[in-house]
Amino acid sequence: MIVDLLYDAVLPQSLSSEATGALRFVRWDQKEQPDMALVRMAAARNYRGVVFFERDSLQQPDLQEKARQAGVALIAVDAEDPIQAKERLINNSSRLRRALADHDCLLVLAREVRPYD
Amino acid sequence: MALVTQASPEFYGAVFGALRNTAPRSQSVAATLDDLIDHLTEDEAEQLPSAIGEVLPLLRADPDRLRFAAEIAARLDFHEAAGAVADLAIGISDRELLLTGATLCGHPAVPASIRARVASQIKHHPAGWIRLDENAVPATADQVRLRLQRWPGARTPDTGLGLAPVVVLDQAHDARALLRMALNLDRAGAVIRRLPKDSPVPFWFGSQTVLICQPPTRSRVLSSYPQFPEGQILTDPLPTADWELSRLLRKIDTALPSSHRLRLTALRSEVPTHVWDPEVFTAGVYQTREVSFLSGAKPGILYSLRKQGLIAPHGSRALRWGFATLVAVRTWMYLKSAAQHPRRVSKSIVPLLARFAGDSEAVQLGVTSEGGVFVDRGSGWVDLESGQLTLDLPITNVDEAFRPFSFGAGTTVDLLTATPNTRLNPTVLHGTPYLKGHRISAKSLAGLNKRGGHEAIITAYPELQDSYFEDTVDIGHRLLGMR
Repeated sequence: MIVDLLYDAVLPQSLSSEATGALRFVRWDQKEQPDMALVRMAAARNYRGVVFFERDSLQQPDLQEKARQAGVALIAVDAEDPIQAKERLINNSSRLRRALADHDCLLVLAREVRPYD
Repeated sequence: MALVTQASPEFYGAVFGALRNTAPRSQSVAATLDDLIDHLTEDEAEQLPSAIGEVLPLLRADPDRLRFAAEIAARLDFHEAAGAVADLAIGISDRELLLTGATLCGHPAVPASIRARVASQIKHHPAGWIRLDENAVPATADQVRLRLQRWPGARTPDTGLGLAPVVVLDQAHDARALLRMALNLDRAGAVIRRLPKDSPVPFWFGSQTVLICQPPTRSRVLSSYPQFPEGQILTDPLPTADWELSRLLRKIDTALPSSHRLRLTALRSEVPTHVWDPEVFTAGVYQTREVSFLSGAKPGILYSLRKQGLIAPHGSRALRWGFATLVAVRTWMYLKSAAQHPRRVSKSIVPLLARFAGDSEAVQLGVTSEGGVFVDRGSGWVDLESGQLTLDLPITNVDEAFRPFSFGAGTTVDLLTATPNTRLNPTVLHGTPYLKGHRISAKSLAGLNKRGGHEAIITAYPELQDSYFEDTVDIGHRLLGMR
C-alpha cells in the first residue's frame, strides 16, 4: 500500500518524481504559511505525515502535540543542504516506510532513520 | 522624499500590464496592485496615480477593465487620474464611468476645469451631483447616505447608518508606504482620502475620520481646524513590514469613532503577523549562531545570560532558543547601543521579555533602561508586572529594537524584514529567515548556492526561475557564517 507524505517546499521539487517505492511524496504548493498549516493539510488529505527539513522544525512549540492529535507523523531530514536531504530521503525510503509503522516522529540521517521523541 | 524623475516606459508597461490582466468581476483592488507595488521604486510609487491616468485610454476597447481601473483610482483616491476618467466617460458616454469621474472630481486638488466638464454631464443626475458637490441637497434616504459617505465632514458623532470608516492619509508620507497602507485600509473596508501637501482642510475631512500624517501636517490641520480631535491624528511613521502594518491598523481602529470601525478580520491571513500574539511570540526555534546574528549579541553573551539564569533554552535536547528570547536579547542590546552608559542598562528586561507569554490585545510593548517592561493595549502604558498605568516614564517602544541598529563595529539587520525579499515569522519554517512568498529558508538558498550556484537553486526550486532572491541568499550565507 502506498503511503502519502506531504513534504515542505524547502525540499527540492524533483523529490516527488525521483522517489520510488512505497512512499509517495507530495510537495507543499502554497505560499508561506505557518508550519502548523502543513500538518493541517496532511490531516485533511489523510496523508501519513509531513516531511520537514532539519530537526529544528520538530522542536517548534506544540507542533508534535498537535500533529499527534491530528494523527499525522512528523519527519525531519538532517542534511547539509536540501539536495542532500532529498538524496537521504530517497536512499532511506524503505527504512522510513518501515519506521512509520511504529513511530510518529522520525529523524532521517545519512544511513538511518531513528525515532525522535 | 526622493526627487521624482521621469518614469520609464517599462514602468508604464508594468502598470498597463497589471490593469489589463485583472479579473474585474472576481479580483479585489488590493490584489490587483499588491504585486505591482512590491516592485515599484519610490519615484515610481509617487507617479503611480498619474500613470494609471495615462494608461486608462489604452483600455478604452475593454469597458469592464476600464471601469475597474477607474474604480481602483477612485478607491485609492488617485485624484491625479480624474481628468483621464472624465474625458473617457464623456467620450464614450459611459454613465458608470462618469459617476466614478464625479467621485474623483470631489477631491479639492482636481482642477476646476475638469470638475466643470463632469458637472456639465451630470446636471440632472443626483447620484453624480452629490459625488461632485458637497453642497448638493439629498432628496432621499439613499442620497443622504451617499452624501455622508462621500463627504464625511457632514457626519456627526450621532451619524449611524453603518457607514464605512474614513481614513485620511497625508501625501507627505513616502509614496510606497502610503500605497501599502492604503491597500490594507481598503481591504479593511475603509474609505481612503489622500491629503495633498499644503492643501486646505477640505469638507471631506471631518471630525469622524482618522488622519495619519507627518508632524508638520498635524500642526497645519490643527491650526485651520482646531476642533479636530487630537486623538484621531496619528503621526506614526508608515510601516512596510506586515506586522507593523497590522499594529498600526489596530491603532487606527482604536482611534476611529465607535460607529465607524475597520473590518480587521478581513485582513487575517494564514500567516499570523501580530508579533505579540501568544501564538507568534512564543514560537520559533533558533540556534545560538542565529540568535547571535539576529540580535547582535555574541554567543558568549548568550552563554553568560544563560549562566545567570536570565534566559533558558528550548527543551533539553540541544541548545535552541525561542523567538521571545531573541526579542529579549535584541531589545537589551538595542538599549545598550542607544545608551550613554551601556553598562547601566538593566538586564532585568531580558528575563521579563523572554518569559512574556504574549498578549493578543497588545498594541505595543515598551521597556525602560531601568528594567521596566510595559504593555499598551490601546489606552496607555501598563506595567507588565504590577498592572499599574504608567505616566511620564521614558519608555522605549520595543518596535524600535526590531529595526536595524549599530553596536560596536557591527549593524544588525531589520529583524522581521532583513532585506526586501527576506522575511522572518516565528511560525514559519520554525522562525528562520525565509524568501518572501515561499517556504524556502535563506539558509537553504545559501547552502544550494554554495553547492552549485544559481543553477543549483533553480534546479531545486524551478518556481524561482523568474524571481529575484540574491538578497535572501546573502542573508543565508551570513546566517551560516560563510561570509
